[in-house]
Amino acid sequence: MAATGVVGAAIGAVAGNYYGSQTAHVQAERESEVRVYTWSEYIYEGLIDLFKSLTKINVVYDTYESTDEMRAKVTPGHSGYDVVMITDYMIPEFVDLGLLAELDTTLLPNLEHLDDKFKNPDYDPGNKHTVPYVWGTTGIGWNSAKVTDPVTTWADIFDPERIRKHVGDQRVVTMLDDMRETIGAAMKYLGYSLNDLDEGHLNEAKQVLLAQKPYLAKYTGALEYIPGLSGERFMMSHAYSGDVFVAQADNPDVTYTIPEQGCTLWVDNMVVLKDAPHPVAAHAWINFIMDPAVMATISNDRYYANPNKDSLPLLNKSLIEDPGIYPPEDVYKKLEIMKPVTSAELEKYQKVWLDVVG
Amino acid sequence: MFEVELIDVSKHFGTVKAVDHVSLGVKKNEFYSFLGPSGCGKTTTLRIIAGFEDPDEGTLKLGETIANDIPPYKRNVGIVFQHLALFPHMSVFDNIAFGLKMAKVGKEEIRKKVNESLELVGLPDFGNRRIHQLSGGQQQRVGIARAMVKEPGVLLLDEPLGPLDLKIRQHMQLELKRIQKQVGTTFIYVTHDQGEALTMSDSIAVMNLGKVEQIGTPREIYDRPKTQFVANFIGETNFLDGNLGPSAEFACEGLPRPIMVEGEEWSGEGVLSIRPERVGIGPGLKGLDNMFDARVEDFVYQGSHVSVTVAAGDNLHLKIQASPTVPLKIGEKTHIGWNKIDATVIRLEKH
Repeated sequence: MAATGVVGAAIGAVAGNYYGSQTAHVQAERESEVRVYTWSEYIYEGLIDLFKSLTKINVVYDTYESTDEMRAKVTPGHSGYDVVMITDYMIPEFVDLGLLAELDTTLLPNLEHLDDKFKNPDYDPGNKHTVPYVWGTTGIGWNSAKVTDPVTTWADIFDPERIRKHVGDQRVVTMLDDMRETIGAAMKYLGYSLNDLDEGHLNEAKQVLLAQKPYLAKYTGALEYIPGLSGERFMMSHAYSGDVFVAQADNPDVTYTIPEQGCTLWVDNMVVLKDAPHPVAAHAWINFIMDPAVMATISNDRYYANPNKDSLPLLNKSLIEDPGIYPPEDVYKKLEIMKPVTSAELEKYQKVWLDVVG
Repeated sequence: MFEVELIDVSKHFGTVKAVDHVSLGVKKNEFYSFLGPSGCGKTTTLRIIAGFEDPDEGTLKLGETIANDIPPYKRNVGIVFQHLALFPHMSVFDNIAFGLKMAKVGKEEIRKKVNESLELVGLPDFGNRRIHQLSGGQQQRVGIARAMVKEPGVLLLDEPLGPLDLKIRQHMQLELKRIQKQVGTTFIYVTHDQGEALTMSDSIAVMNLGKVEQIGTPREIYDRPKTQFVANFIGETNFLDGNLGPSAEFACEGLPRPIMVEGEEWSGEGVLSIRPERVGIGPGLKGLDNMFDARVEDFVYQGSHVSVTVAAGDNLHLKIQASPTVPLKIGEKTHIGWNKIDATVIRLEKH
């Protein structure tokens, strides 16, 4: 690939000139900026300045609040962004739309720090397009002072008897307003894989969700359940792990549990867009993030587990010893990454979902 | 020759003129400050020098080279931001070495350079400490060491002392000055804090609304402000409206006779600026070039001095910083006065 040579030389020029040890004989295209589009509250902000001062690459750092917002901005193309954060199950859709560049691994030497467990995922065979950023789970956030018995399994949030026992008849329980996550949770409660597409099993899941519904405050997302949990308006919420730790920072009674049956393991990924204006700088950014010290700083600051095996010795003890953030091996084995689905398969989910929320 | 020179540089963001026809020159080994309120264009000017912004008009020169089209990574310029982003879980040594490791510098060279830079910032035995064991001022030094280890020809500093307490800040100002003198690196320092700029700088460019109001040494800026903005932004002052005559006499309505001034070789409409601490006060005051009768209107004891308000002539109010030993009584008559050299007349622009 002819392009690789130019790109590689440009990176060499970056490192060399920056320390004054090489002269500028390389004709590199000027790439003095990288445009990053990612979830809000997802980095230790000082790292952006550190990257700027070390590489002299300016960073335009924009954030989104929801997957829909990101999809609307990126899928039409020409978004102007170089690096975008995309959750695992959405990757194939972006690949099919021809939006993602193939990564040049020669520009990503820090890939050597990636844990084998996160290589070659189903959503991106061979890591052609993605480098994982951080990962987490989708379990249950609950108030350990107000809920009478400890929450340990999906039954605690799905079985009407148990719900009544935990919180009486008040409607203080929420589920995610996310079709795949919520149906997946019901499937795990029933002992099935959350990727199981068997219609009989899906029908059972529907019955579980319908039986649970009278006890719910609502189906909702992070913007509502984070303050809801910390402000004790909600006692149990189906929630993303990191969000629960955010609520916990305000209210120490808020606890996060990965249910015994297991749950979703999600991975957010850095990708380079095919029409990225600065593909070289984009790789430099991703490689910087993959540095163990940088990755550890992000995890320590934001309470998310990361896939960087060499960052582990640099993580705060409290983080690494928290089973909700770094689950022990036997729990980890029960976690599942959501499989991407075809549009026909998607319809199966939609049928169940409409019957539940409709 | 200047180390960094801006010639008629402008930068617009939409309709906002962030930098408006700025020209200035920074000499080698100079400690140069861009001083002004937020939105004055100082940070944008710094970013243009770093290469993070392209000027819309004008020329940027680094040494003898026109640098407008030189990418940032080819400029021999280092940057220290306010947000230090030190790695809390790593040692001081590893923090400073981080950038060198990223650039694949050899182990021995890294050791040598890091130790030299630790020596420079006055933390010679701190290499093995963790960041969280350091005080705020010490962390700041590590941040400076991390920038200096790359041996930039010019170091840009974007309000790096902002987060520190006043006492540590004042100490670090002197430290920064010492470090800069010792290594001789050209420092360009952005700040909104006039005290900071006066303490550290060899030269100051005072900026407002995208324009350079005045360039000079701290003394020139303080003693001979060229615009009302500069006189007002830097320290406290009294403004008196009037007319400068051909024989260096400033006629001010309401005063019984003109104020004698010095070094003003023009005539016309102007504003006289006199600092409160340059005005003498007391019933027995004598021997000053300009003396007027006045009445004490109010005074506030402030420890090292007393802030007095007086009315002179036909109800002209002046603020004065007086010694606490001066006898003062509200409503009583007294004398005020100052020497020619202590006031400056700012020419009013004809529009």
